[in-house]
Amino acid sequence: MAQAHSQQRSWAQNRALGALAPSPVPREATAAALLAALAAALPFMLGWLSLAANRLVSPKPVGLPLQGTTGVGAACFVLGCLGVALLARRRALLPWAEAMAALALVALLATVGLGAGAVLEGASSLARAAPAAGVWLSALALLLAAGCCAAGRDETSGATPTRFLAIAVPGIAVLVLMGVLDPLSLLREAAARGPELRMAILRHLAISAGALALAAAVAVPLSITALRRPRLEGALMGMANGLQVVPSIALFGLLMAPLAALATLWPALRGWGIGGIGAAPAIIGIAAYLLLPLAAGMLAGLRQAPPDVLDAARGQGMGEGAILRHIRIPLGAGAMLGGLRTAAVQAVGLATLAALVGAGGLGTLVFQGIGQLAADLILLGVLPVVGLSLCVDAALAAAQRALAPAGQRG
Amino acid sequence: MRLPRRVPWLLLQCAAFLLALWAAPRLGPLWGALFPDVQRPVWDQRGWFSLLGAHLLLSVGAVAVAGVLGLGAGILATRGKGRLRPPLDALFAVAQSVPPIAAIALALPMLGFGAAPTMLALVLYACLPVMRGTVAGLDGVPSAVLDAARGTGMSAARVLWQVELPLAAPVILSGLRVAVVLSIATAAVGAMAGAECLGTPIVVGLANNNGAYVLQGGLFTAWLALLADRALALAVR
Repeated sequence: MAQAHSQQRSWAQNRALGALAPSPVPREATAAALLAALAAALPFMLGWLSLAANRLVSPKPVGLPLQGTTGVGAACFVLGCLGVALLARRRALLPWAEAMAALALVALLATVGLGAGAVLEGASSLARAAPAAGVWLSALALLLAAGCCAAGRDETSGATPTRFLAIAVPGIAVLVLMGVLDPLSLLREAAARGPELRMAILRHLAISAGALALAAAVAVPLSITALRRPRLEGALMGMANGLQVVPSIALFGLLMAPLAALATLWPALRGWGIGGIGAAPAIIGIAAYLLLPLAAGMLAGLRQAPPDVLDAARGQGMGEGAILRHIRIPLGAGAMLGGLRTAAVQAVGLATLAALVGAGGLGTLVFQGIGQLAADLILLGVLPVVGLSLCVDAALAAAQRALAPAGQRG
Repeated sequence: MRLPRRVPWLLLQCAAFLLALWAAPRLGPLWGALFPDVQRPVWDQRGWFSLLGAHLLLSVGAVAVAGVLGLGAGILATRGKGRLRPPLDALFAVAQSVPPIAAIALALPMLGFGAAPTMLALVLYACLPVMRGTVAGLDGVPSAVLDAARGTGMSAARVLWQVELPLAAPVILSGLRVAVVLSIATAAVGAMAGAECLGTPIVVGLANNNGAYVLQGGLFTAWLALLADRALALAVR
């Protein structure tokens, strides 16, 4: 605690010593305060809960029963929003404002869960309670407020609210484990589809990781080779750029026919899982889009080493291989990680479409939900995708920050 | 200048694309030979040209709306002390984590099947590159130029209109180019939610296990995206 405090002070001093004029109120303050105020007002304006007599009829808004625990929860939520607005007025306190936004989100969800329990008491077992539009928009406003606070902190990670996620994700997990959120229809849907949901998440991660590994296996050696061959670099980047233009749904479709033909020609390939339908077209298609961020990050990273450092290394008699291992890669790790971060976030998002070609993953739930026009099912697929990509982004941003040279850090 | 030589070449490519669209339903034997297992390998549920028209209407319409919104937001973000910058950055970070299909799916229960949820997602996603391009372009205007303009007694609005926007135009246009390509790609995904477009044969083909429909839809969607990218690259220059 004391250490964190002294770190912050030295950080603030550095900032004050820098070229920028030290302003007591950071420019992020206005936006963070407005978003926090909006977050606090939205559930009261647009409703907390909606109740449907069963799964099929359309839900109607109901008021939040403000008694006992829900009242305390709502009060905590409003105080949390107020805290975000106040803490954001000091540059040194921006990280705390970000953390406070996470606490406000947890309080909001706890209130909704408790409220849903109270509303459903005495109702039929078919009745379903869900968060109303106000709660969803409020959660989005809190996420954006946290992003504003993060954007004011440092350049490396941008507006990715690392701290917000580091608190909100465990907080929501605790709420789920305690059963506070169980009365919500989304959680009922999740409970009903437990094994299916777990399989979908694992499959989603496997597809994303597979595509990332495949793209890295192509992009890394090619980038290293292209470093000193401008024509190869031109071809590599031209191809990677051209592939970005092709719509993903079209690329998956175009890959199906040749892969199916390959599997017909050599049936042995089917044993490896390669065919027109399944993971193969999805993984190859996703990997195609990841080439650009990976190769661009690799090349930028490899060029990070200053020419005089390279000259000195050559003068010492280091070979190109040794220079690559001991100088280029360590110095460029931050930029390479930046490319990996973009690619990993894209992989998680693109893997949603993998369900189209029968590869499974969270897209299966989304497409089932689209087919049945079932909002809960769609959310059950979409929320994990968004959560996963936010977490991947935040984790790699944290790694990038840890790797950045001390001079570049916040 | 290489420009004059490239324009006819582009027009030729457009003509080839339209010719291929016209020829696709007339090439029954080709599709039959490629997909011997498929009963009806020729897409004939809707004309290719009406699908193309719907696709262009969706994506270009969305970009037109998004262009105005994105340009306005980008200009606002660079005024004052840049107070609007942090929420825009935060919005980018969030939007990056929500794939377009997820945005379409989320809008679906509210707006119903058809073009509406796709249109909403298209406008939202096309805004971002335009906004980013506008901010980057306006940021890139040298402060010396701005000082000189103000020194001659130009009002803030005139500086924006006559100095900043013309200087930022190439970067704004390249943002617009990204927006158009993104829109064309996302509109194709919109076929999942019932929007009629070149993605429709892909989705119908996937649902009915008809590889020929998937191939035809995929081919024309990808071709349209590449053509649009080329054309806009020329326009930006």
